[in-house]
Amino acid sequence: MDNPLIINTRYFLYYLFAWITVIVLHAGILYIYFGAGLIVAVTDSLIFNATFAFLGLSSWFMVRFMQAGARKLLYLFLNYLVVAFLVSVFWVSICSYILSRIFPGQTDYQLILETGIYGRLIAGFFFYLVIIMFYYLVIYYQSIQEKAAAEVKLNTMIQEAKLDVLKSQMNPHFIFNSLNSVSSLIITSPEKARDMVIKLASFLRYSLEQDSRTTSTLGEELNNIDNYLAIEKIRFGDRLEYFYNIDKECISCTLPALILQPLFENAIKHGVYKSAGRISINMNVSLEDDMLQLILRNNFDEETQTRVNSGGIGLANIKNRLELLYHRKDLFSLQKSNNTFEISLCIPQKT
Amino acid sequence: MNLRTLIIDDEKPARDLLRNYLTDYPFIEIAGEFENGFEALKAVSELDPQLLLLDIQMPVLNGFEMLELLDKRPFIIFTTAYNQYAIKAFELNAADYLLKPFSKERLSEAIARVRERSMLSKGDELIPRLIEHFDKTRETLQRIVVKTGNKINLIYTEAIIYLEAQDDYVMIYTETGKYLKQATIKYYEDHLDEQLFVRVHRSFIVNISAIDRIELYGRESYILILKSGQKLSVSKSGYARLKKVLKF
Repeated sequence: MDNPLIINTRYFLYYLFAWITVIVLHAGILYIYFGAGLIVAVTDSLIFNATFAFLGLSSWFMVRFMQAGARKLLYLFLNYLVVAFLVSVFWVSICSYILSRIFPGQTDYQLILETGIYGRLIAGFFFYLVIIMFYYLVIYYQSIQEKAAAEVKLNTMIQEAKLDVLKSQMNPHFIFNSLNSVSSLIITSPEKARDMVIKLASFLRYSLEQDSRTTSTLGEELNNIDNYLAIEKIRFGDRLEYFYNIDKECISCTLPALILQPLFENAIKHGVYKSAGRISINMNVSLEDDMLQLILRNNFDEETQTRVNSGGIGLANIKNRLELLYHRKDLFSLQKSNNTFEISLCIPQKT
Repeated sequence: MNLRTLIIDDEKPARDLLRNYLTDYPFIEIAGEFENGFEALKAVSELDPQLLLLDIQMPVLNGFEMLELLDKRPFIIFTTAYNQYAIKAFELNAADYLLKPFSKERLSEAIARVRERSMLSKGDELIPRLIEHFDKTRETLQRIVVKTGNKINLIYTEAIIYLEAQDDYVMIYTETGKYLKQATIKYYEDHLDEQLFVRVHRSFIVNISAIDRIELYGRESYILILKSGQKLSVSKSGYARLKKVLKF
């Protein structure tokens, strides 16, 4: 029962108040203009309006049902007109029947019922449409609020992701060790040192530039990953190797900025940092049905992993970002089996 | 007097740099360089060095774990990009702690300190004034290394059921067995995750996830019954600590 008129006390009171007003007016009109007796007028008004108030509440299911699928506006409109007509016919006949049984002998009243039938039908028709419109307003208002909340959350996530990337750059793991490598290369191989400084600078610049825009192309992201991995490769030498297998058509595909680097960082953190052997990272990228598929695999030394995997914050962040950006929960998955760790991402492409 | 020295770091450029800096010191004889604590462990017993230039974060065994397993203690200069290990480094009596990247001059100070210590042949003094410059948070142990015979066991802390003080040793009980480690129970009280491990008694630290129930045993004294059925006595202050962590 998610009817806004029921779960929201304020709406419910408005609804009740509106019907009480209608009941009073209805009874008043019958009593004053049509000369019905007071008891008859009040009973008529109560039965007609209470029944309609109930029908109005239950019409929420109709609205929910029509909301469920994407439908054409005209179809919706015609549908509601037909339903409004049927409901009002049903309403008038049921109520008239009940009332004629309650006051069987009163011919005056029978006459009022008979002559008033068209007026009542029209009133029922319009009341029904008003209620439906009210429901639509509520739904519209709620969806605006939900959207605003989702937007705020998304912005926070992006800020956090940026912060994470910044932190990882400021992380002793990465930046100080890289600088130490540079310091070493200056002596042993100044050319390589210069190369490394340039790569480090490009990497930092790319991460800082993602301020205003939240999407990148795969080409740009790969460029950044190349810089990142080249730096790590200088530090770790043969202990790290990596391969890409990327379909050409994917290069211009779009994806959220800075979504790849944390994946590689995770692989290095749980692989290279902990294992004395060689860690190899493989990335496959393909495009299937307007869906960019990225699969990242790396081996790791199972003995060195704690049972509680603490390095999940970066990955959880990516999962959340995808959920918020695309409103889907099935875009991120990870698998761990026999010394292999596999992450797959699906990024929907706009057509 | 020559100082036989080992360089232990998992990154080749870092080792190259040290090797290069060290050419200025004719009395330093580089006996070898190693990529991780495990390799270095074997080398230390074979080569008997007087000085280790030691990285901390390394695969297999990290720098600290390696030191714990050594029978003798050479002079140690830590070289690392982290500053959060400084306190522990000085607790272990390191001669110095160099933050990467470091200058030739900074290394030269460290070597001077080693020389001084070796001349006076007193290796055991703390350098408290240096500690001020570093992060003061104590690091929490993720695992404990124990040598049994010539086997090295890596015990992950979440696999520990409880620890028992036995004179100068601590017996570590896990699901798979028990391991004797030369250490104090106080050390583990300070370095194990305090949300997970509670010192319930002068002699016991227990993993709270291994606790089945706590029973009253006499007046104001309690006994702890573990899931394995094992019973441990709880002191008055231990009971208070349990109460705080388990929030009952």
